[in-house]
This record gives sequence, structure tokens and C-alpha cells, in this order.
Amino acid sequence: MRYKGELDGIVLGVLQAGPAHGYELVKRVKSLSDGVLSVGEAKLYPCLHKLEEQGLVSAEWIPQDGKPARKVYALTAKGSGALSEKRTAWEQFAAGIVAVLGAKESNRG
Amino acid sequence: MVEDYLQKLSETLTAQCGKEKSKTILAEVRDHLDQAIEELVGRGLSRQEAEKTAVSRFGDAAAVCRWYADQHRRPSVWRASRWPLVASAATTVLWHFQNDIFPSYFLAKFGALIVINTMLALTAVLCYRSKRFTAGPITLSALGLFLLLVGSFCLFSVPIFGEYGYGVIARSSVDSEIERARQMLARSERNLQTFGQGQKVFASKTEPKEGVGQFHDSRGYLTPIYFQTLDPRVHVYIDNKEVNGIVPTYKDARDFWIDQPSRVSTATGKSEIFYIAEATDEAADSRRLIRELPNAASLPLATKLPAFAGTAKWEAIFLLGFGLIADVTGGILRMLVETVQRRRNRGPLTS
Repeated sequence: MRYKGELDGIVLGVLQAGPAHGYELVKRVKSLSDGVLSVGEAKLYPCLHKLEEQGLVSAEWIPQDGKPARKVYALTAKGSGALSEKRTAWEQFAAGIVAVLGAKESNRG
Repeated sequence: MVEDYLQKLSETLTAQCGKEKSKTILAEVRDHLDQAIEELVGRGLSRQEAEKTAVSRFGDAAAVCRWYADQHRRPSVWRASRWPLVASAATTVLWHFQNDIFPSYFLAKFGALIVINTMLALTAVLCYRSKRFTAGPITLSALGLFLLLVGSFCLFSVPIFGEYGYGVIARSSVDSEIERARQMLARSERNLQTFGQGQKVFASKTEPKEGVGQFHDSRGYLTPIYFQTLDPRVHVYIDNKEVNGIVPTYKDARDFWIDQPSRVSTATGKSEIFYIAEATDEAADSRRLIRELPNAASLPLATKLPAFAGTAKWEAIFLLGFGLIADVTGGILRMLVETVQRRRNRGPLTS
């Protein structure tokens, strides 16, 4: 068994908490994972654009006072469905890993 | 430093993703870097140090472009180009080998039209889905078709001399084409012989349009024209005089028209007009076909290739034209759909 699309899953998961722009997404990943995970900033944008093309996230340019508009992303209904699937896949994957690691420990013991 | 980085990114992204897409990506990256720099300056770094750190944290510009190339561009390119290539190749094969595949010319023509239109619609949908114009892939498809056709002609066809230079026919059609040339030669010689005897006959499919017309020979020949209306229902007029039975010269025949009932069938050959110059050309062409066609298959490739490439060239240009029309159609379709969507749904933050 193999868990695929980690970055996609992380981005969708983070957007679950609400719409965000790219920089905020990077910060949210760090804070939500207590600093364990960090997203490659350059990789984030191609990933976001791909998810947007697939209809898993929507994007909108929000005007700002005295500054250029900012692109903000939000999870779509299709994206929520994809996130559920990714979560299930991850849980199965994690359960498998835990089972294997646990079995090794019990063998040692 | 940020400007240098964005400039480098812009050059590669524009080449890979197009100007518009590149512009929106750069706006987003600029916003990201601005926020990072603002935060780092807030933590006590100098502006220069903050810029350096933000750029280095974001990653190498070349790597960013590679990510776009891998995740964004290639699938769209191939998704948009493969079907037009397959569909157009199928159409062209149908077209060129129709006599061997289909008993009916009209069936083949109808089938080819369906495939061409399907291709057009399919390309429009694919261009729509790929979210950008795909002139590059379509050009590649046209080039692919050109090479495919030249290859197919080398295997299954021979060059044939025709009215407009060299064309291509299937090898299996050579015998029937020689037979047709023999019949054409016999007819031309018969007509020329009749003319030589001082008689006035002549028929061909170059009949002028019904009604009044200024006479001119499309090839610029100042040859006399000879009329004999074998069908009593057909009347030929030159300078307002009925001319059945006379032999006018070009000078005499500045204006002429043919008056015939609409039911006269040109298939009988009786009501057609034939120019002597064409009889001579037709006889010469027929002799050349009869002489060349039996050995056409064994001609050296260097002789055959220009004829094959000449025919394939027009097919490729045809595909390119169709593809570009579909490309523009797809682009317009997308703009319309996006405009409607924007009006209906103004986005998650404002809804």
C-alpha cells in the first residue's frame, strides 16, 4: 500500500479551516503541525494551480487597500470529497505502518 | 534582488505557460515574497537580508519553472494534440484511399466530412479544457500528419501527373487510371480528327455558365472556338447572333452566351462545348499518363518524394487551418463560460 499526493492532501486539509492565500497556507501548515511539516514554498503554487484546475479549490483575486490584489483559495465541495478520500487513504496507510512498527516491537519484546 | 528573481522567473514562465498565465503566477509570487519580507523585517532583519532570505526560502527560479512544466503544461499539451492528430490522419487516409475502401465516392466524402467536423469539435473541447490556446501542439500535429502522409504515400501510392501538377493515387488504382487515360486519349484524338476534317464538333466540361458571359480563355490562348450544337434544344449566340454552324475567331467572339433549356443533360455530351486547345492538352496528358503510370511504382524515391510532399503539404495546411479555428473557438468558449461563471458565483469569500 502506498500513500499518494501528500502535498495535495495537506493543502486541502489546511483549507478546511477556511480560505487562505499562499503565504498564509505555508504558515498554517507549520502551526497546525507544530512545526513538524513545512511546505516547499515554490512547490505550493503549482500544486494550488493544479488543484484549481481540477476544481478541488476555487480562487479569487481580492483587492487590497493601496496594494495589488491578492489571490485567495478556498475548498470546494469537490475538494471536500477528495479530502475525505485522502483522509481515509491516510488512515489506512498509517494504521498499516503502526501495525508493522508495533509488530516489530512485540517481536523484540 | 526580488526584482532580479522575478525577472528570471518571468522569462522562463512566459516561454512555458504563456504571457497571461505567467503574469498571474508572478503577481502571486510577488505577493508571497512581499509578505515574507515584511514579516522578516518585523523580526529585525535589514531589508536586504530579508529579501535574500525570502528569495532563498522560496526556492530556485529554475526549479519553480520545472514544477510548472511537470505539473501544469505537458499533460495539457498532449491531451490537446493527440486526438486531432489521430482524427485527421484517419480522415486523410479515408480521403486518399477512398476508392479502395468505399464503393461510393459520396459515402467516402460524407464520412470524411463527419470525421473532420468531429475533429474540429473535439479540438475545440480539448482547447477549452486545457484552459489556453494550443497553437503549438496543433502545429506539431500538422507536422506529424505531414510526415505520416508522406510515409503512407511511399508505401501505398504512386505519383500521377495531372492538370495541376503532380498528385497521388493508390497503387491499386494504377490499372484503372491507365484505362481511363486510354479512353480520354481516344476521345481527344477523335475530336481532333473531326476538327481536322473541317467539321465543327466539340464538347467538354468547360461549358461556360448559362447566360450572358464575356468570353475569355482562362489560359490566355487566343485560339478560335468552334461550336456545333448537336442538341437541337441548345442555341449558341455570339454578339447577339445565333452561331450554329459558323467558325468564329477569338476576335469575332467577344461576347457569347448559350441558351439552353434547364433539362438538357450535359452528361450526353451533346450540349457541351469543347476548345481545340484543350483537346490537344488532353491528348498530351493522356499519352503521358499511359507512358508514365506503368513504371510509377518503381521510380526512385528522390523523384517520388517531391510529389508526395506536395500533396501532403496541403493536407497539413488544411489541418493547421482547422486546428487554429478550433483553437480560437475553444478560447472564446472558455472566455464566455468563465464570464458567466464569474457573474453567477462571485467566489467563496464574497458569497
